[in-house]
Amino acid sequence: MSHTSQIRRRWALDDDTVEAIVQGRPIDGQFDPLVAFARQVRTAAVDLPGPAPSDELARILRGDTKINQETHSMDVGRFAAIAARVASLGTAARIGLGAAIAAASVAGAGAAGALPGPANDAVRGAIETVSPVDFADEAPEHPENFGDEVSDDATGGNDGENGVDGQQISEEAPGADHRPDSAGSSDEGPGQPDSTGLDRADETPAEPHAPDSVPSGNGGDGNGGQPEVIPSTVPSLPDQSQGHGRP
Amino acid sequence: MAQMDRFDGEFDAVLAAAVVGAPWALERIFTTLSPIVAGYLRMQGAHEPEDLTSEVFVAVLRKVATFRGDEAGFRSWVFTIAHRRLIDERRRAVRHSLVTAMGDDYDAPAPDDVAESALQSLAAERVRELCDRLVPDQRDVLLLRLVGRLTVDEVAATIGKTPGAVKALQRRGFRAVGRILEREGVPL
Repeated sequence: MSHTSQIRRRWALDDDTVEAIVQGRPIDGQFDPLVAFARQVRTAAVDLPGPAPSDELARILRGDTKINQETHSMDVGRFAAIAARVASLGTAARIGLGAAIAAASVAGAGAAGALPGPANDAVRGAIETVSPVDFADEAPEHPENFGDEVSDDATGGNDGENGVDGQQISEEAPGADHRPDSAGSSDEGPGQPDSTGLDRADETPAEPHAPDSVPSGNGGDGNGGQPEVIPSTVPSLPDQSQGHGRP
Repeated sequence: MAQMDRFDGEFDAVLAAAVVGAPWALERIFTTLSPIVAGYLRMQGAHEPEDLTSEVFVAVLRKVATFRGDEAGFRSWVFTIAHRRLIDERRRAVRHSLVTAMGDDYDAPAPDDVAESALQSLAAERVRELCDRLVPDQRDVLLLRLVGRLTVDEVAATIGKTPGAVKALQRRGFRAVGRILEREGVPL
């Protein structure tokens, strides 16, 4: 077994161990570095005093700015500005603005199917004439009994497990003889950069078959092509125990 | 980790007073929760963690009347807002090409004990650097759990993933930290 594999195996954690680390409960001494890390994260984040408030926040804290009122006053102010602007328009401009608002409202309602049938058809026809938009005439047809029956594979009626174990199906499917013995080939595509099948694997019926991590190589540690750790840009601290450069 | 009550059992009274705009209650919410929110944002490498903390609390205090729940739920709600503001800041930073190394702009308060403060600063820097090397989703989960003290379900709601995905991310995040520490042999 390679050194890398030994490191991976040593840091194989289950949910109970993780929860113990997060909650600061005593656990096996081999995880002491992680316990120290968790403690340091809390200390580094929490031990500093809170920041000074910004001017806006300070006004709220002093009660100079009433909470829950600013949005309302902004809306009133914006409405008043718009009303004043409309009032300043000439008669012809006001008629044009009103017609444009009315046309936009009818077109929107027609596109959404909110008008009575004949009016709806007329508006949609007009939109199709003047634009590349094409409304589907009918909803897709389904058999009378569509959705009445759900597969036993999905309900768990055949094996007591909701959903489908993909590995089980693949072993029964044509071509099973040509398939690899386990999932997670590193030759597979990198997937999403911040989400992988491994994130969801524990929630599926195939959980017993899910690998702990994707083999290294293309695809990394199951992070969809991202390395699990990002190379440091900060040089490591010198090991003071060896006393390099000291008399 | 027992759920920590940062309001000494007075959360309901503080919330009721904050809803009607009592300055003492608004101040209490800010002074109680702003250190951990600022710490979370700092550990996440926020460009301006202190300004962002103020933004978070402006939003929290303006919306406080809409909140229903207990102290743990309130903390989770505050961290949800903080996390979203952080994402907004990152998007703004990408748009403006403001790529900043974590913690570059952080100025710690003047220390009383210089030697002790230097050690703390070194450890804090080391921890921040470790967190920076994690995959972003893993870092989000670990920091929300360790700093925010959110439960798995609360973290799932905050970052929009399932509880199972959150558990997987925290397992892998801790594994990654363990491997880094073992490979590089640098004590915390």
